[in-house]
Amino acid sequence: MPTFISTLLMLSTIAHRQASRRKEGYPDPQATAHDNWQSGGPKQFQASHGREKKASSFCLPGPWPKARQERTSNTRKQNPIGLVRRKALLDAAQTPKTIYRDREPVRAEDLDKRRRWLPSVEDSNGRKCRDCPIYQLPNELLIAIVEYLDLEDLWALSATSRLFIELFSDQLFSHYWEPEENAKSWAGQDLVWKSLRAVQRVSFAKGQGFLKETARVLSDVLYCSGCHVVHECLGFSARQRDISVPETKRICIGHEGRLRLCSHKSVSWDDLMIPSAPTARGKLGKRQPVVQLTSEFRCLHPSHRHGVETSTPTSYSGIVSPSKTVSCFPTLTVFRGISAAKDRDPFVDMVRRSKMHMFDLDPDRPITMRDLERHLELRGHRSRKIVDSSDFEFRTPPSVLADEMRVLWSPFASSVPQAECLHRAKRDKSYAGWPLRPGAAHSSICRAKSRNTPHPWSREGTSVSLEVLQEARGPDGVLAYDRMTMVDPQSWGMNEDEDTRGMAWCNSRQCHTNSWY
Amino acid sequence: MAENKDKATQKITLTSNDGSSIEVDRCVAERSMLIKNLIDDLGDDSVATQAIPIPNVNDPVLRKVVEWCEKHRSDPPQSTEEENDSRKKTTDIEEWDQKFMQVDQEMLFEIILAANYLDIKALLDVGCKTVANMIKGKSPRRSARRSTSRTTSPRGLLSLWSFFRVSFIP
Repeated sequence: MPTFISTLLMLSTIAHRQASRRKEGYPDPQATAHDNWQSGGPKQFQASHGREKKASSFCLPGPWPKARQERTSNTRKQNPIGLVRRKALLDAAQTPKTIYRDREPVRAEDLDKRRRWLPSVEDSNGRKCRDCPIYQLPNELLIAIVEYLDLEDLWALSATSRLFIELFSDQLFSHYWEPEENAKSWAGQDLVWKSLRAVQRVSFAKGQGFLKETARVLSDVLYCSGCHVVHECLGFSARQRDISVPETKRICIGHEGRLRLCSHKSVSWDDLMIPSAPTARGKLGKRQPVVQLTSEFRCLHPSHRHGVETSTPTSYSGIVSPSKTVSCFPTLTVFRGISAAKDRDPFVDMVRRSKMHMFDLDPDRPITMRDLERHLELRGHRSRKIVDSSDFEFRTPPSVLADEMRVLWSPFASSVPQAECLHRAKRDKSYAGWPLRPGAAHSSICRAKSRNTPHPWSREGTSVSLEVLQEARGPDGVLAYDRMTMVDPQSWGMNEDEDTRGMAWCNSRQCHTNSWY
Repeated sequence: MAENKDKATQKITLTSNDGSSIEVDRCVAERSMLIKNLIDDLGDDSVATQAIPIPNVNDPVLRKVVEWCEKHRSDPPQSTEEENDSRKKTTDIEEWDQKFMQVDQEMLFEIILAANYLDIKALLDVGCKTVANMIKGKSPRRSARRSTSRTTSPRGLLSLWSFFRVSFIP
């Protein structure tokens, strides 16, 4: 009996509390779900949903308050719950055409302000754009026409004239490029106008934060299980950046890719760490580092046989190379040891050296550098020189300057005025905040044999050859960015990486870096 | 019934902006919502006696529009509900309409403008679809190249090319 009374008491207090809450304006928990669908959700929920909507769409500073309010109120009625809305958007992102068809109609009067100035650009025949019949259509009709177009056609059309750019860069079309959803649909679509889209991305999104977002994502860091440190995202291939790869198995491009000696031979990272030569011991002098392990690789392909042997070269860090002679066979030598500094850090020093036979000369005549170049041109060796030396030049995928989130270089340099190429012009300077730091790696493309020699050409008898020396040095166990740049980009599939296309690499004809890849 | 038939075959005179007049059946003219409302407002008698001026449309375009209306005189009027569903989905055009729309660009745009003015929804849709089909599947670069290869095009072709020449070169 007392238990019954206490339950009664409890029930009554609960009922009372609910009643008082209702008075205070709290939503009735039982009625909430029903109310959500009837009236568009409780107040605080509406507010938060409205905020979410604002954050997820691009906001041009434009005076469109009326249209905006109508749209938001409509979506509220249809999708009171943010999750539902989000899911619908994600679904729609996979089939981009539905985005287009489900959208609310564009209001013609909102476009009138945009239409006020008509482009006065003249074409080659001296006729102005406003002479074209399509410009004489009022906005309603333009919109009516445009409603039949797909996303790709819209992009194409908006690339043709400023009127359409104005029309489509409008907020009314903002649902086309709401950040994440559209990025996904873009990546998934196999479009004919990939290059066009990239141009659009640069020119449209430059002010809209789209590139900013990509640059931010790319300059984010990931843990590399090979080096046991974190690298920037650019240091990983698209496969490895994927979320499904567990962190304990994710490796950077230095581990994934292969170092290319020449067109015939490439070496993987695991090969490099196996000693192929007997351990060489350097002097334990005051400043001499100690080499504990050396491994050497060379390509013995007969096409490299033209050269002659030369005197002993020295490596970048002043270590006498254990191999006394260097033929024109391309070699890659790896030194591991302890540096001479006080803390005695272990280091890895990689030297890639090769010599290319270029041509034979008249033995009685001294040659100068100018002679050499002229010979190259006269004998049609230029193409060979370019082809061969590109084998040995750096294949760095840089070009994004994360500093201030600004894209300094773009493959569409001609269309973006402030873009510049970092590759050749300024490679000797170092850029703070650059994901792949250029530093020494960029300046040592074609190093002469000794410091006093102005050029890497050498002559032995009648044979003239070009010596190419490339080295990268860094702490042991960690892949420095210098060494990442030695990795052949094809071996880790840079060209299959759609996310960094246009940011880090490009194979377009107009691109400055086209010849590099 | 007889009265209805009379109404359908009653002749109405339309005058274009360059003064020439066209005589059409009443049911043909009533494809245009503008004219239909006008007739409702004015009453049958005044329409029978005097011509209806169409000031925004010139003679060839008006004849073209009337041709379309006569072909489609028996079409059922679309309800607004159905229209909202079906209108935006497809750009398919009937064969006759496709042939009808094979005119030069300026004519096409004038037809669209006239359909808009006369409030003939179906014709407007056909026109918009035609223009959309012209835009569809073209890249701006390709269109630009095509037009630049034609720099010395004869005068008559200019109007045909003008759409792509002007609007597809940024």
